[in-house]
Amino acid sequence: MSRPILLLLALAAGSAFALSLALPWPPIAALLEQDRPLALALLWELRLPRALLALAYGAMLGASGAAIQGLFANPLASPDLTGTTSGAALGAVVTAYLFGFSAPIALALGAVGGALGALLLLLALAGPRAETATLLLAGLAISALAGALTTLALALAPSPFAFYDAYEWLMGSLVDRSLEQAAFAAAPAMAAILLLLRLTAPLDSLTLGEEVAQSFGHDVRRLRIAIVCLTAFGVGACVAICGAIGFIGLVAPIFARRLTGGHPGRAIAPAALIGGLLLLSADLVVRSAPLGRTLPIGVVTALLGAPFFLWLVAHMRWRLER
Amino acid sequence: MTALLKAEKVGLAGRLEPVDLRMEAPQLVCLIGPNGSGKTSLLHGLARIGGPSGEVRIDGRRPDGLAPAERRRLLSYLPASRDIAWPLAAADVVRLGADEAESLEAMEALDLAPFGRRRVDRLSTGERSRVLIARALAPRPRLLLLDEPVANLDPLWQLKLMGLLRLAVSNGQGAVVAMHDLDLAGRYSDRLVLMDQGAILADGEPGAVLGSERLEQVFGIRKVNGEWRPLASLPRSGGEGDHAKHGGGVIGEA
Repeated sequence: MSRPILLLLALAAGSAFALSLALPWPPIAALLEQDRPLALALLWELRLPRALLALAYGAMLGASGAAIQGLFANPLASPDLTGTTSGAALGAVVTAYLFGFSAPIALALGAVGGALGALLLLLALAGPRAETATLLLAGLAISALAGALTTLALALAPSPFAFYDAYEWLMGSLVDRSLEQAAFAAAPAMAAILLLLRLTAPLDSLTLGEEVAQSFGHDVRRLRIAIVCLTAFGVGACVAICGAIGFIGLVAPIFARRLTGGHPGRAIAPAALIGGLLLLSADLVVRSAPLGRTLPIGVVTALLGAPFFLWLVAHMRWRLER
Repeated sequence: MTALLKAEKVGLAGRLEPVDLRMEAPQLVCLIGPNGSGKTSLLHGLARIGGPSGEVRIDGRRPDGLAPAERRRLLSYLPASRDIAWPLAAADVVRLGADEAESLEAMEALDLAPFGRRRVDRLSTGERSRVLIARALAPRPRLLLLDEPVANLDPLWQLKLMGLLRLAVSNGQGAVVAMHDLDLAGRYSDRLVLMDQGAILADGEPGAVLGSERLEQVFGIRKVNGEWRPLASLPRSGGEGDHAKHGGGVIGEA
């Protein structure tokens, strides 16, 4: 992975971030002339949290997707397909609607717990270096279970509006989050990404198998625990604030590895940048779509990501049949 | 002088009885034994893979707890599996755990330059073996731990590889190599270590170990007229050597 490419990606993500703050420009321009404090408040309190969330959540999904794919030695592992995001959503819903704690910190803790549970269940079910089929089946089962339990929790919730309330959030949304809420997602995400970046070398050595990685002096068990905990921590915090957003964690690492010559560990940094770029772009699409109303961003990433996923599955089948 | 390798009570829970293995000066030591006899487990114990017990010192230093950058100077391990999880270019695989100059040299030694940029998933198993062998040789560690390196190689490359290992030994490196080709092991090694059921049964000069009764018992084979034959197909009495000398009629007489 050459430094210029990484720099270019950072520049692209930075530009998308700036665009996300600036667009649409006319109302801001008009307000800047008429009521400067209001214009700044609009930027600071509405657009900044949204852009920050898109960047942090996307980067978290990209980085953790790269790490999970490297760990499982499987390009189809990702936070959403492994049931991590569904587990986090379940944790947050139970915390909010069954236990009635809706402070960001409580939601985040619930979601991190849910994500951790889902990942540990996945490791127990599929094993540390799972075949694609086992991994996907286990992920599917966990997602289905978490989805059903989430619905159950909402049905049992004391509030009659729980379903309606949770719907938009569960679909994944970056809209109307305060700067404080954004910080609750972005800070853990950034911390998790920075710590994941330190795992580059051991993850790369896993390319040669667990035994060789151990002979290099890497503690593979600790690596596994670190990736599971950091993913649960970062993704959980983001899901607590923004709901579940799919496919970024699958797609970003796949693009990133094209830039790193296939190295799974070295792909973490570009995957984070690509993930942030993708989610910021998806959000720009959502905002500029002439529908008269806002689409949940999770729907957009799924609409774009699902066909890619199908292509990937077909591609893997061709390769296996070759 | 410190021993190049001093392994004491090295074991792996349930799979390997605690064993000792020493190498005073650079040597090519071949591990032989039937499938499941503990060769891989011993290599794992020496490379500190899994839950190894006992103590290993290479040039007097314990590899446990050393940072990867230092550890790769002490030992290098080649697994029997030729799987590579991600489709890296051949040159990038060799580069994992070695610097640029070292990996180029290793690639040259294994004649990998022609497909350095090719993806490893598009190489044949034998070519991939050579890539992985180059990867293991590249950092020029004090001790090479190789699990069936000649498997999948064509006859010429089997000989070339054994030659490379001899060269490594003459350059001061030690090698512990598990292999099944007894003749190749006998010809090139300084020492043969015979294993069975997780224990070392014989350790010594290749000729002595290959001709020992222990080897016959463990493998159930014997060399007759320069050919390995199953004991079951040989006559049981003490006179079978004579039969061999007289040539034919060995099979079916038991």
